[in-house]
Amino acid sequence: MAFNSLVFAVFLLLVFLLYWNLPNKPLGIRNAFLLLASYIFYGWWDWHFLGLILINSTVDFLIGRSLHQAQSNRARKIFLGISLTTNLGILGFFKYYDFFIVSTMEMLHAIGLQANFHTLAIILPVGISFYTFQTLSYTIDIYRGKITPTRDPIAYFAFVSFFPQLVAGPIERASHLLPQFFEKKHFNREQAKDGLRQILWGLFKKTVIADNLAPYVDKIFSNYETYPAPMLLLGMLYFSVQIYCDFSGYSDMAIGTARLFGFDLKRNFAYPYFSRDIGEFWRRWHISLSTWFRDYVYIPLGGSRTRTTLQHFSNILLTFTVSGFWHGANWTFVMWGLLNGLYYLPPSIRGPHQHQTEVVALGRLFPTPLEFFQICRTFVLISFAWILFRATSFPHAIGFITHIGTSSWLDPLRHTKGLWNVLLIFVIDWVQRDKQHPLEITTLPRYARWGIYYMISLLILFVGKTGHVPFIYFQF
Amino acid sequence: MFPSSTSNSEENPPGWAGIWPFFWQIIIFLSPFILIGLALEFALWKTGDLWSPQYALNHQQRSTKESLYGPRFFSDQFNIYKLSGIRYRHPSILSIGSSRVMQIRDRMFHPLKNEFYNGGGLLRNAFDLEAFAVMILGEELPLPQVLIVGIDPWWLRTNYGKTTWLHDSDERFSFAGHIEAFRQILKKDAFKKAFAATSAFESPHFRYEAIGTSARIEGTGFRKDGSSLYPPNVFLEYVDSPIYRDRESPPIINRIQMTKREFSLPATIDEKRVRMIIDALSLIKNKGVEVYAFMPPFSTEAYDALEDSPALNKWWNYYKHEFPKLLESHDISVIPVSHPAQYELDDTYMFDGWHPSEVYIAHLVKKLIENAPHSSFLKNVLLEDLTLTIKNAAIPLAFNLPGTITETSSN
Repeated sequence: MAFNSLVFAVFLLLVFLLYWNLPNKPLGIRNAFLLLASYIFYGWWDWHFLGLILINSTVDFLIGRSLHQAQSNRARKIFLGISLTTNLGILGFFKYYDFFIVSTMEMLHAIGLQANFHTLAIILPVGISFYTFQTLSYTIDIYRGKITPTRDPIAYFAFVSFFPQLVAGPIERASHLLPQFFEKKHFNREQAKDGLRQILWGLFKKTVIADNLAPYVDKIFSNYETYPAPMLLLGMLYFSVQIYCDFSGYSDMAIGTARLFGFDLKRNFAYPYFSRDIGEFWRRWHISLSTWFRDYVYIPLGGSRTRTTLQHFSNILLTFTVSGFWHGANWTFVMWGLLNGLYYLPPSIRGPHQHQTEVVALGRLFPTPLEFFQICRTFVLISFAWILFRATSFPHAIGFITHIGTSSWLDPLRHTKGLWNVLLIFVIDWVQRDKQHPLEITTLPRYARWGIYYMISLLILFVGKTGHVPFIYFQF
Repeated sequence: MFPSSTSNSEENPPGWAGIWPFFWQIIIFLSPFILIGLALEFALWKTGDLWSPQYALNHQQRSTKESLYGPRFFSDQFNIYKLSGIRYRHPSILSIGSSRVMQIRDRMFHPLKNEFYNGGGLLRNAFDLEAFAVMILGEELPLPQVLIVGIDPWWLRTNYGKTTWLHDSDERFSFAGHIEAFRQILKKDAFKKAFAATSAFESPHFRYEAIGTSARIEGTGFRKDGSSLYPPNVFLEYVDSPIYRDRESPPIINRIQMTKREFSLPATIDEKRVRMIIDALSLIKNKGVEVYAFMPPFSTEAYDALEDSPALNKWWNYYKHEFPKLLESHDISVIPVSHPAQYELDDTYMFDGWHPSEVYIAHLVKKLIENAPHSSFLKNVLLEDLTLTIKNAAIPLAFNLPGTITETSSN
């Protein structure tokens, strides 16, 4: 059941109506209902995989309690170890088993040894990378003493499987989302309206921008040998916008949906393509994952508080490489992560206090020439790295990049219609870059607001791609 | 850094009382969409476009007079319509293939005309043929006595089609299908046509009972026997100016010369697909069905272009020479690819570079029957009658002209 389907619209309507008509006391009733709805939502793909969520949730719920009660440090470490092994074991098996088998065979073959291991052609359960990280953060935070475990299994299970963010995030922390399951909820019309606005905006980005760019991207990437260099750069640009609108569109719909039920999810995107350096980009792109890796990988490795710069650099590179590997069992993702790590090194030298955080050119219509240069530079670097992300294999990526350098620059551009989509999203995002989402237009008079909502709805209906186009991040 | 947009903490009473004003606002916002949507759905139902292919087929087959099915606002789902037609008619003589066999008609098989059904348009590639064979063998479809299978050259190519569409579901049951239909209907000319089609129940010129906007306005669609009727304007145009025109866009000759679409490069033979076709036909034949592999003709102009194309030469020659031999080695009769000049006709017998008219295709059917073995079911067909039909054809494109056309020509 994907957010861009009719069946989800019907499901959402029913769940919304029932949820707000359930009694607020005891709290467990609404949580149990959300849990049931979330399991139906997830089981719609393949009910067999519900077992995995149940295993993850049960293990971490019990481990959380045991961790808290454990007296010795050794026992605590053992419990954490069990949680890590179970969660990462399941994730590793379903996501990486075949990759490791194939890679091992290729390596042995490269050194002249013949090996014939069997792959299992395992189907990746949708959202497994997201909910695994969510449950892991729960046990790690208890281990660190940052949170205390819950005694309420229903609330905990609902937290792990909360349907708006179950399959592609934002990856929530227990400290932020779990307490919301213990709040008495009253329907807040303004919050719900804002949720709907954000859903509308997410749907627009997905169906009008991303899905209309997808056919161009597919054509250019799958037949790159036949295209001249400018077309390949156009393909790179289109993919940069496609993946942004696809993924941030999903996040918008997830956050908006949660708001209909009175929940606030973490922000996941903050106009990343207006970043002035790579560091800023990673604080604005897939924020829930970036901060997860920062808190649970980078800092435990020593972060920037290391004795040598080399060690600091290796922490950065390792964190980015693991982050790349999280995305998928393919060397392209590993290399994409590594490349971003390399990009990150120069700004990291400036130290944390130098990080750009404020909205670019706030209060001004245009950026300064320097800001403009910085934004363009960051965008080009990131877009170049997306080639690795989009390519189906490492040789494919290398072939694509090589072809940019070796093919003709004089042939005319084709598939330029997509540039309108690119322009549209950049202009709207730029104008509204100080808002949570571009449809945060509550200061406008009602007729103007409704005019904008109608315009976006009409674009979705008449320009948006019909039919079900899966979200890119569902494969992770 | 990023302030939360959760606005005020205004809370509403619990239950319906709380969410009703919110809901009311949403309903007001959506009401123009809902009203327009309902009006369009009603119009689509009135035109017949919204009828499911099965429903339309049942209606058409039960009709006592000739009936034409030609929807416009949902994409051409011949698969559902034709499969339903085969099941309904349970034909002894069945022709299948792409649109290039759609001109074979029941009247060519007198006195077996009620035993015939044209499944043209059902198959688009080798995967479709394989899926069709599986359906026949699995008794999902009735077994005919004679099967005429039109095989296009591009079915043998690598990368032409990747899946079958025989199992696709009816897009009238999908939200996306309706949105697409609305998008089409709201275009200027289409809207006018759809509006006119809501109250027109007969096709223009031939005055058949008509289901669907294309049938009611352009007069094109499928007859009860599954054969396709071109828009009568095509015949009118021919009567006014009796020359050959390639009505495809882009014209077939251009596609061949510029190696585009079905003729794109590299034009390499896919052994797997060849095997798939042979296996499918052999399996059907082993069930006791007389199988005829029919290679639909090209216009002389297109045929010559294929002969002269060095880039397509290897593929074309394989289709023309080696593939028929391969079929014959599996005991499958072949009607080889041809062009009008081989039958002492000219290109006016073609609608375009690759769609033969019913008159030209009648020549091919006649040859097929003549060459059939003595024990063949086809030998029950009265060849004299077919010869007479061909001889009396009104124009190279059609056996008959509607009254209005005759009047026009006589004027």
